[in-house]
Amino acid sequence: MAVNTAKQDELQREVPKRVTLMRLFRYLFQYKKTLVYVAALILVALAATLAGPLMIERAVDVHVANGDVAGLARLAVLALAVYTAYAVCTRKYMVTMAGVTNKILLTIRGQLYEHIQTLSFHFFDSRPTGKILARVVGDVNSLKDVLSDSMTTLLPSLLTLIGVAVIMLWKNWQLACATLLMLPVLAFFMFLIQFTAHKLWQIHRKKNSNLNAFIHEDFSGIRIVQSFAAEQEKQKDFEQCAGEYTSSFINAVRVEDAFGALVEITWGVGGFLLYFIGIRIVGADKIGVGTFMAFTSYLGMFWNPIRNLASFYNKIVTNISAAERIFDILDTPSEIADREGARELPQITGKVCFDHVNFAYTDEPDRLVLEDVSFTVKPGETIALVGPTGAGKTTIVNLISRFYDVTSGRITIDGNELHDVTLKSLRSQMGVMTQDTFLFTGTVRENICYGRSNATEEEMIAAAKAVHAHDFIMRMEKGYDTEISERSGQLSIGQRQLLAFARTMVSDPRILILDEATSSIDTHTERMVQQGIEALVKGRTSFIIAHRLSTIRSADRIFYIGDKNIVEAGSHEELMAKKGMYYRLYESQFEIA
Amino acid sequence: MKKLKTYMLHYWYLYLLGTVCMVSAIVLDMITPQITRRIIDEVIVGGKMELLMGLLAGILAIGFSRAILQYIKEFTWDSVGAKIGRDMRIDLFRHVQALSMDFFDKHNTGELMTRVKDDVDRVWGVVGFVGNLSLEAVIHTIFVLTCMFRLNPWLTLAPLVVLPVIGVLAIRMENKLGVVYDEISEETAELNTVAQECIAGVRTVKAFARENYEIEKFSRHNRRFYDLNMRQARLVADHQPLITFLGKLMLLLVVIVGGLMVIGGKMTLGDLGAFSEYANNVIWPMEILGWLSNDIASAFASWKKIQKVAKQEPQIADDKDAQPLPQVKGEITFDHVSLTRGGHEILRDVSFQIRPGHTLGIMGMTGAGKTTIVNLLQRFYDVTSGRILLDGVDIRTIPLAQLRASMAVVMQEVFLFSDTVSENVKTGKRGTLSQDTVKWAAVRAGASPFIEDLSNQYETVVGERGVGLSGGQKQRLCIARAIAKQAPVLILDDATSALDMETEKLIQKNLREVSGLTKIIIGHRVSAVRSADEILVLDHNTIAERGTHEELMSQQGQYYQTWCVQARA
Repeated sequence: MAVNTAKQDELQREVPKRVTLMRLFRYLFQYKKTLVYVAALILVALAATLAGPLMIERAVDVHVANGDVAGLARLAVLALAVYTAYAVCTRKYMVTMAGVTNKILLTIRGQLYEHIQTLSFHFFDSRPTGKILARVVGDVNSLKDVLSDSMTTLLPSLLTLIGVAVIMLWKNWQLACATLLMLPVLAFFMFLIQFTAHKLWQIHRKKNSNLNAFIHEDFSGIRIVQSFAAEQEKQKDFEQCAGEYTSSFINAVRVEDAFGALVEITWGVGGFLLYFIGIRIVGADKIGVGTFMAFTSYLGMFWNPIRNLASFYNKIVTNISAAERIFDILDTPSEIADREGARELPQITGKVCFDHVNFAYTDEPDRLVLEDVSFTVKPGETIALVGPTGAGKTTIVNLISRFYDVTSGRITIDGNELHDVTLKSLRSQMGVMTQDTFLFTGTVRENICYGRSNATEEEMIAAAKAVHAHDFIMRMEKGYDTEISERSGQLSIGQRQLLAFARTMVSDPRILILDEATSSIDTHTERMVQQGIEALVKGRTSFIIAHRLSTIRSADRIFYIGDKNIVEAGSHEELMAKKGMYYRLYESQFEIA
Repeated sequence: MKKLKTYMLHYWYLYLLGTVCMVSAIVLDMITPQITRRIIDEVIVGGKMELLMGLLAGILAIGFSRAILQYIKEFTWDSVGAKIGRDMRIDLFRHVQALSMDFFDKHNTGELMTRVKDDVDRVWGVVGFVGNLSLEAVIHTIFVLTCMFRLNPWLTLAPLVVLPVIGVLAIRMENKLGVVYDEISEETAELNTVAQECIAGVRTVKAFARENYEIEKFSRHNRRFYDLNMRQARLVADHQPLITFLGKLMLLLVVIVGGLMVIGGKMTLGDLGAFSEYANNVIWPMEILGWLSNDIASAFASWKKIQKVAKQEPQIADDKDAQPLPQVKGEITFDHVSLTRGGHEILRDVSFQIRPGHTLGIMGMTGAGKTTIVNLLQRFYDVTSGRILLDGVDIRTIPLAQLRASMAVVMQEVFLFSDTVSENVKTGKRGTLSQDTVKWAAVRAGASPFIEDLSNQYETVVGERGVGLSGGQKQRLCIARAIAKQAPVLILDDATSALDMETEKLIQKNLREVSGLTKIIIGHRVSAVRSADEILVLDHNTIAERGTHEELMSQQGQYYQTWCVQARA
């Protein structure tokens, strides 16, 4: 199986940056009207900003020079009004733009999460939880600046740039050309830097994801780490991860910081060209001191927006990989999804048919896990699956819940092929209990009622009593309202299994699948749970995988799974009489007990 | 964790270099206007053409020098931040890893991830580029104010009056943002936890077709995250334009007061022009300071959170005079051990002794305290009363590292690292364990047949939760990992629950062959414990029955009943 470890970088499809960027900005375009409003506000604020120096100039050159106190006062009032307009408009557009940006992040994060929910186990099996997490929270956050700056930086900077260029050309085209000569050179180097930096930032983001995954895994398995005194080893691995994260950052800024230097150089060369061409080639007498002074200040005004644009460009370069990774997930097809026109599966009786089913995992298509499996299970029948570890017992029950799709052949429930019905209607009629019992942070109540949140108090308690969990729940601090946390030492593994059991009971499934569900429960409790199971199994089709034959004996039929298929099938008595594989298994257990 | 200052001082030379470059660049920046002034005054107006090339060379030289200085400055500050971030992260991780189980019981993984990852990142920003910009803003302001003061001390009062107001505003914004950032960081951890749980428990979610419920749960947090971010944006919008407004107001004030002074004949027009230019120059640092206080506030919030974790002391640590045992023989004694946690009795008055090379079997009801015995033995928790001895020495006086190294535990919970099979088996002994030992352990654990069937055998990567392997296969790897540790004490905590009978029998036989090993076997099946030298049956947090298989059978108690049930099968 192609799995990705915490220490390795993830593979990713290559998509042109332009496509990614357009796709990102399409989210912005949904807010067209708001954006127009923001743009208008920005224009007003920009106009106010540009008007400021003009008013100051006028105040000094005209009013002060002429000793006009009244004029100075008038201008002061005007300036105050303009500045106030600036402050009000700026405040407004900042809030509005933040609203748009955050709403987009809200949407993307929601979409991403929702999509991840629909992905098949294969997706989860092939990458650590930490890496998926990094995308949902971290990567989405890093789009914030790109989105908001696209309006608040891009627009005013571009406008300033164009405005200044126009004024310069209008005032003196020769000097303007001299000054603008540097622009293509600047653009070339900017491109060069961005090209190199992008690759380096991409590496950095991958290291970021590795670091996240590593931390997540280490803290999840802290018991093992401490018990095996592996702290030093893990510390070393961590230092490597953290070191790579840091050095990849340093590598990226080493290139990216050249931006600032580039602007300084162009500024120097631009100044040189302005005066050299102006004085030596055009001739100082034809230009005039005022124009030179104006151009010097325009030169200053010119580089500021360029600097802003460069840093915006930079932000895009830095963060586009985050967008790429988000879209990469959004584009991962849900292997197991509702087919178009899938029907609701009506209330089923529970007849399950396997018809020449073959199965292989998608990434190892040549290696069949199940080969030509066929059987029919009558409604209400209890089937026990036995056989050596890894023979394919769990695979069979996974196919019934459609956690994976068959490679060939078909599976039907009450005559409905699994492909033809919606996943929700299928799975909500199944109760699956797996080997690893996973409980959510929340109260005992929330966990038990997880599959059916509208269950009544009586139903919940009845279920808990049936699996003999009621007593220990009541002994807990707040009974059913006790909070369970991820690692809480308050519950033993066996107790967790009992809670998971109650959870399945409450969901009242038509088809019940118990995959090693009672492995960590002691015999005494198990015997009591057994009565619960028997009550639960009654009237429902059940598949039970267990190693303990006590659980299995009472099944209607037993399938012995070996070598990718059913080797023996029949009731306990029949199989015992047959003296085959099952017989030997049974004997071996009896022998040691 | 050291103090922030200590981390920073470690790189004092980089800070020095960065600051020197910064100051030089600012000085050069102040010289440029002088050159343009001379070009205009002397070359264009004065007609001294011979000066032109020299002055132009000056402009070029300044441009290039500034480019170099700027680059060194930015790169130095960026990398110093990154390096401090790395150092802090490494220390924090070491610290967290050494904390006791108590701490991990109370803090979930998502939260701890946020501390080690996001919070450190924020602090790194502030000691790096944010610090760079702040310092630059301050130095720039001081330079400009000095120039202004030399030009006209009275008029300098105008910026001196406005700047403190701006400063107060910036601080107010910082404080308010601090509160919001606290909450944002809180909510990030929350969001992380919800997402992490859902991804880790994806099988359960899908089995119950509860995707929509999980999406709704996430949406609520997503929504709250949005609200908090909007609050942050509004706070900035309430202050930032106001700060800029005040800056512009200051400029206006300078021009009006200065203008009146010029009109009153107390100042020349040229001086006013220069002065207003300087005033113009002092605005951007003020504006940027507002933005920076945003970052600084969030870094402060993060630093406080990091500190909170850093201040946690491991509940269980080596005693001051902990003495390593010369050699561990593997004799284990529980002497009237009780454990109470959170007012709840978990274990009451448990006593037993296992001689080196002997085996203790433990059975009992779910939740009776079986795993607690293992946890106490490894000192994940300390006893409330009584004592636990290893080779006759209280385990609290043995170094933790030696204590844990002397026992290999197969836990109930199957946990494998996302790494190769070999690396997993070598956990804790990576440097010293040979490939042969790995194979030897795998054979003993009955894992070698399926490992050799994997695509890359021992070099196959098993996913985070050991994906791609069945429960029984994962369990066998865990057993192999414990065997490979070759510790004098082996503890199997319900370690064969997911195995079929034949495999279990094989492993039991293999383990019996390893002599000289002290073993504790916790199990639900009589078959697993019957050959033990002593068997304890736990019930309601204490020992209910004890003895050998034969003795317990003749007592006809719980053990006997369990045997009856299992034998009947």
